[in-house]
Amino acid sequence: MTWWPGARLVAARELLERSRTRSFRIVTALLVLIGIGGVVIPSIVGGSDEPTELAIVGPAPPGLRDALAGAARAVGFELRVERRPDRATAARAVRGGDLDAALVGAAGEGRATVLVDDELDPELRAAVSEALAVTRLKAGLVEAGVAPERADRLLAGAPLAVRPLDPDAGDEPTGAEIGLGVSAAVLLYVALLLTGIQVASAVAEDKTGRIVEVLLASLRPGQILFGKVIGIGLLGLGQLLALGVPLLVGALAFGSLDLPEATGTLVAATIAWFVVGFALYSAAFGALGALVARQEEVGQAISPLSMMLLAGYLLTVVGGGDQFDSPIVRVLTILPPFAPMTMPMRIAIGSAEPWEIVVSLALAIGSAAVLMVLGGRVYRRGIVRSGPKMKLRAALRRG
Amino acid sequence: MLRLDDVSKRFGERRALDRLSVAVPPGEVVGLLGPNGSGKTTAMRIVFGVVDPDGGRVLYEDRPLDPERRRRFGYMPEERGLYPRMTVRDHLVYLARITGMAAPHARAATERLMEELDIADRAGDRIEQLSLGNQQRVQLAAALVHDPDVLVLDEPFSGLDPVAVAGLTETLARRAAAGGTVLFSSHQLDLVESLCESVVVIDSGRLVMSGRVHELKRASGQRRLRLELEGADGTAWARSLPGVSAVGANGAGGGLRLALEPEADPLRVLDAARAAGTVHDFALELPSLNELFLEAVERAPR
Repeated sequence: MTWWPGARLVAARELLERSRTRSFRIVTALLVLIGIGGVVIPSIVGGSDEPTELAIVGPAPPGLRDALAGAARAVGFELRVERRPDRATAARAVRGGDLDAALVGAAGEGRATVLVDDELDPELRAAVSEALAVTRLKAGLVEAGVAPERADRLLAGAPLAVRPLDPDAGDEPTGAEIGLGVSAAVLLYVALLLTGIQVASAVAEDKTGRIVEVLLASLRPGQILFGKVIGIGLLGLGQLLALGVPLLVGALAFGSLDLPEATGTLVAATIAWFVVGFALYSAAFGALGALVARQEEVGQAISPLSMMLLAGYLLTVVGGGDQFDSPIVRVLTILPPFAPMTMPMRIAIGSAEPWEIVVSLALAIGSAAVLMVLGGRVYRRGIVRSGPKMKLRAALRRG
Repeated sequence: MLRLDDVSKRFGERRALDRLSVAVPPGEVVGLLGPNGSGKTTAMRIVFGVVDPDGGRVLYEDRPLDPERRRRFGYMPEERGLYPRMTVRDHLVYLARITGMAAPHARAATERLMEELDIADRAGDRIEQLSLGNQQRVQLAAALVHDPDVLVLDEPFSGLDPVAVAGLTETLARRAAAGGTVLFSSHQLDLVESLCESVVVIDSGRLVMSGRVHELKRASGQRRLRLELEGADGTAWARSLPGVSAVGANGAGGGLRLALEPEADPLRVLDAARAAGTVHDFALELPSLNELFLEAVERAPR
């Protein structure tokens, strides 16, 4: 059988048999739910963006309405102000949830009362108290003979011109963006580790179960390894897509409202770097899996690779804290073993220069090619070697 | 004709095969026999290209093997060799397809073979759910599903009950009678000597003897006397007889086995035995393969 059809049969078997397992179905269903939840939940919680409703009850000083709205804007929320005829109806509306608060006794200079269901939101308290102070002060100024227009100007607040000195000002990532970047690093770490373990275990299963001997009667070692890697990689990619597509669709459709702007870029970068990272790591995982004598040894055999993945993840979390400002950290994030975990976050928070992205991709793809050749050689030697666990050096030795 | 020609293989310090030459003609079942660790599995792995020999070559119909020609071979390794969680039908179709069979042919061959080996009712079961006997049948089916010209089986009889041994023997004999080349290995020389016409016996990677079982036994020029004697003490009574030596006392019941050189007369042994005690059983036999093997190994320079 020619090369591709043989490898395709191996890949198809791997895909089919794995997708039939219960654990695969459960995990995939969970991922879809998380992906959908990531879009739906913020838009439900995002209900808090609705304007706050405040009613003024009874007489109030002129201009209080505008002062309230202006004070709320200054504090950072939207306030809708209406009037209610009497205290009883206002209290009912507050209890019933139609109103957030009702302001009673705003006229004059005495103590005003705010009716709330439970407690007064501090931002609302600040806005109401400022608005009352401003309107009462204006009334006093007018009474003292100051022209109303002048009083308005004086009370409008001095205009401030802000001039940023940091050239990158405004590009600072938000906490949400950093949070998403860390989530992507966690996801890539887990996805690459799990798919890697699957490749190593699948190879070890073939070897320890002597299945590979039957396969080798018909297939070349490279076809078997490549088929397994492709099958498992496609399944892993499918699971990532199950999580990412709802997020991506959500980000594009309602993104600007509920998800940070960078979500779309981040999801795309995560998926792209999974493919690159898997190409980089999978052959090495397969090679180490081929060295074991018993299935139980797989975890120990692959520990160098799981350490490397963990290091990439930690680098993202630690380096991301100060936006990858340290030059050493920046260089590390570009290197192939770590780039799959670190680059999506750097891309998402805008800390990666275009040349850094290109260099890290080129390095990763080049290393992947080298590792596939070396991994294939180790696999070929290890897979047919019975007896105790084989040393990596022994498997690499000689052409 | 499948031939291993002067094949050698070392694993580190250990010499697994030492210039081994073996010929397996088509049309008969050939047993590759030898104790554990004698190199049988290594020889089979070399045939399938799983292990590369350090020296020598493997020929089929006088031409070296390549992956393409090996597709016409079927291999049943000693242990498992199957994915335990796959169903019987899926597994057999998969193995047929990787040999290059198109999907419809692979499916048809699978159904036919499951019918023939009496596992059709388990087609949808996972292999791990089957009894050991049925798993062995699936293994055999896996080696046969692409209708190979050459069938190689590593220890196929170990762990089988007598009924299963008879069934497998019949299947192998049928393949051979249809012109196939059939080679199987076993470490139980006595068990298999009745199952195959020809044997190749190896030890420490070297050929000890090969040929038709019957001819090997006859050519040894030796005979064995099986004797059950009551009342005699040990084998002292037989020692004075020329050309007679004891090769083992079976203990219980006074069973004895005596080796007779060509010049020894079995009837004189019988007379001596009757003088020593009461004879319950007396039979003249050719030596067993096991005995020939032990003798040859003792003779061979180490």
